[in-house]
Amino acid sequence: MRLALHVFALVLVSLASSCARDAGPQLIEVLDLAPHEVEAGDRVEVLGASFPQGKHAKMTFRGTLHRPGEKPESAEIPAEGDATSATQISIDFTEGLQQLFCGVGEGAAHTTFDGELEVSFPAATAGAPAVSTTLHAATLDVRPPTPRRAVLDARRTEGERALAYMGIRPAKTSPPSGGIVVESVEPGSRADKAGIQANDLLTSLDKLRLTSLADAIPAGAQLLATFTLRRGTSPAEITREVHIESYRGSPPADLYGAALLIAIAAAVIIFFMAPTAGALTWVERRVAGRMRSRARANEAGRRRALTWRADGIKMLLEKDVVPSARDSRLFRLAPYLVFIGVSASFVVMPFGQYLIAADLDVGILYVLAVTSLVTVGLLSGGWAADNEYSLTGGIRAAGQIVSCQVPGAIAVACIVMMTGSLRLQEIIHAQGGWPWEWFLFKNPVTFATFCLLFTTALAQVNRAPFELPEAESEAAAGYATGYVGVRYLFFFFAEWANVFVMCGIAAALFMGGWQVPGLSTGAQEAHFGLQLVGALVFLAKAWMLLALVIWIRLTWPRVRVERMMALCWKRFVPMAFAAFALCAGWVVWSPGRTAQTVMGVGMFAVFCVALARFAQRVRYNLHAPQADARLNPFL
Amino acid sequence: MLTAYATVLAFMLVAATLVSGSLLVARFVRGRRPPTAPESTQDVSDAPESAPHPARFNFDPRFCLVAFVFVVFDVAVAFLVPVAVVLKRWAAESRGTGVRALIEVFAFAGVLLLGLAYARKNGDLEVEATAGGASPPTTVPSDDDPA
Repeated sequence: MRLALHVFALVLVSLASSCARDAGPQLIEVLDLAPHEVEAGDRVEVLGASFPQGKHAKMTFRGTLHRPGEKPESAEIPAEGDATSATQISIDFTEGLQQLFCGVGEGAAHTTFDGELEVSFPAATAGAPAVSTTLHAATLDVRPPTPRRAVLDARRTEGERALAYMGIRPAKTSPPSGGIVVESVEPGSRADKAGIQANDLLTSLDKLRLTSLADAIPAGAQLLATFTLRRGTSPAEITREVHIESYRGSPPADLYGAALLIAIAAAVIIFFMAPTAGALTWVERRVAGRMRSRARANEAGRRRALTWRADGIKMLLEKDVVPSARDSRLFRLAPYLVFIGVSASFVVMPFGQYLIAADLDVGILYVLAVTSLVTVGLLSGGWAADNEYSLTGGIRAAGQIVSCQVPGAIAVACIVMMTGSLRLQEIIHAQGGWPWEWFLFKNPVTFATFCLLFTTALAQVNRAPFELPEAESEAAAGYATGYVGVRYLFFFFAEWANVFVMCGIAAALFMGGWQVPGLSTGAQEAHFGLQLVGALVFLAKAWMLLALVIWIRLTWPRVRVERMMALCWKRFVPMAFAAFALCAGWVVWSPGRTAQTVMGVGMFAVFCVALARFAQRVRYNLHAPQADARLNPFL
Repeated sequence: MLTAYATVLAFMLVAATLVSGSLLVARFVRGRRPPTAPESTQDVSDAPESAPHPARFNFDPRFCLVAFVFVVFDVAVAFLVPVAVVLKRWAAESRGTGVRALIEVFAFAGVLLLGLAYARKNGDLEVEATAGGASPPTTVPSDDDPA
């Protein structure tokens, strides 16, 4: 009985499938694709027979995409074209198609498609089935948009490394027909064992057509790298498989990589972040002394420059007190959270084109996220110390982030909208070297956005006039009241470093980052010296903003906590949404290039006039009462 | 891509090592103090009456309301960011697409702002100064640096 049922079902299925096949009469025939190698802007011809001339065809590439160093990926890519004659359909190979094949952005790579192509013409009359056919064994080689030089170099190096690993030395010159010529094979190497010989022409690796060394990265999906090659003058392609078990994930290479990352991190934190934070404490105290006409940081070293180091040593020698009563684990954890939060934001700090630890794709969003970790540290530290001043400080820190992060994040979103990317490097690239090309002077709205971001960032890093979490006149040392010694040191270490982060990020978002005025980014990229100049330009901009932060701190009285929260929610949030709306309008109804330049130059001119007027006023104020020379900030 | 995030991990690791390393060095560098040295912040002050009290105080519940509003807006911002990223590309494609995206975003933001206006009208954003215990109503400027 069961068997009969099975047989019946089988018959039904085969009947149904044969009906389906009959439904689309195969009137047309597809033979091949030409050319086999394309890039955006090219025209691909599908060759065949009996195409309805002038009709629009829908096509689907169904198969596998092979890219250097990536696992093969199955894909179904739709395309459209017109039958220009009975024997060919032409497809405009658009950028969109190129992206579907090669991937988007930095990940875009040379791709070989391998699979089938289904061509179908919609029916002439409604209700009739579409006419379709399939080309099996279709291949298409797609070139990506030219990648950045750094990306290309990295791929080339990786390719060379892969070949060297297998024991293949490629020839310096590549043949005009593409592929890689083997100059020599190391005796006894993996390639030698697989039977690859000198003067072989390698044509493909793991089904990816080889056109340059950058393609010679094994897909890594298997333990074998499959080469096809031509030998001598014979046109036949031979297949050779090279064992590459430990090419990927071999412990030494990965360990070197990890060590390198740790070294980079240590270099940035120890040789840049620590001295910057230290120097900043010294600068701030010296400036405070001058602006307030009193002695400041005047004990150690020439120009008292050793003061901050003396402070550090003093803290190191202090007794380590952990309050015995309360949550001592949380108490110990807090400085870690604060310091890790600040250090981690240095990952995306763009000192120069290549002087960036990692240009994360979520860039600026990442900065917002990790700097919030600082607040978690402050709150938990304040809570765990268990005294009223500490908890007050911790709660105020939370109150600040709760109020200021929203307008700050929307201000950042405005800039993201103007550039269309979250990557800091792309945001910098969207600006120019001259001030009127910066987002700061792009239009009045972006200038207001900068002020908004700067103000909220001041609050986020607990700087005056928002230094409520550590307001000594009301809450002793705020969240840090319970801390002494090294733990205390790291709180303030982190705070000063955080001020630098804030200024550096603002300089990247609004002031063109490392771009040197009058130089194209390409020209700057070409020369190592110019890149260093770029890094100095970036630091100069960041320190300009730091000076502004110090100046604000020394001149503005502190705001009360509820005033600050009300200010953020009642003024800044609506303002931020208004700025978002106006920026969105600017993006959609973007004025012409000339109009933008005129507006930028105009904004900058207005700014310069205001600055000159301000300087004049300061001079007047200094001269009018014949003030003591000690008060003169220009000395 | 993963290397980029490995860098993040490396930075966090180095930062944590630096803190614990400094604590360790400090332990060896500093001398042993007599056991009478203070064991908690309550012991530090010379004048016991001015020493800080334990953290037992009430604060304005509206502080929490603000925190709720914050959570709503923070999530909303997280929704705005993807739109911000693609808007330029859409606007470049055709102005109609850009305008449609704009209208959708503003409908979204409009609802949020209505909520904010309601909270404001209700007085939920008027946190009392006591948010943070016995803070005297003072605006005395900072006169000393914290370090």
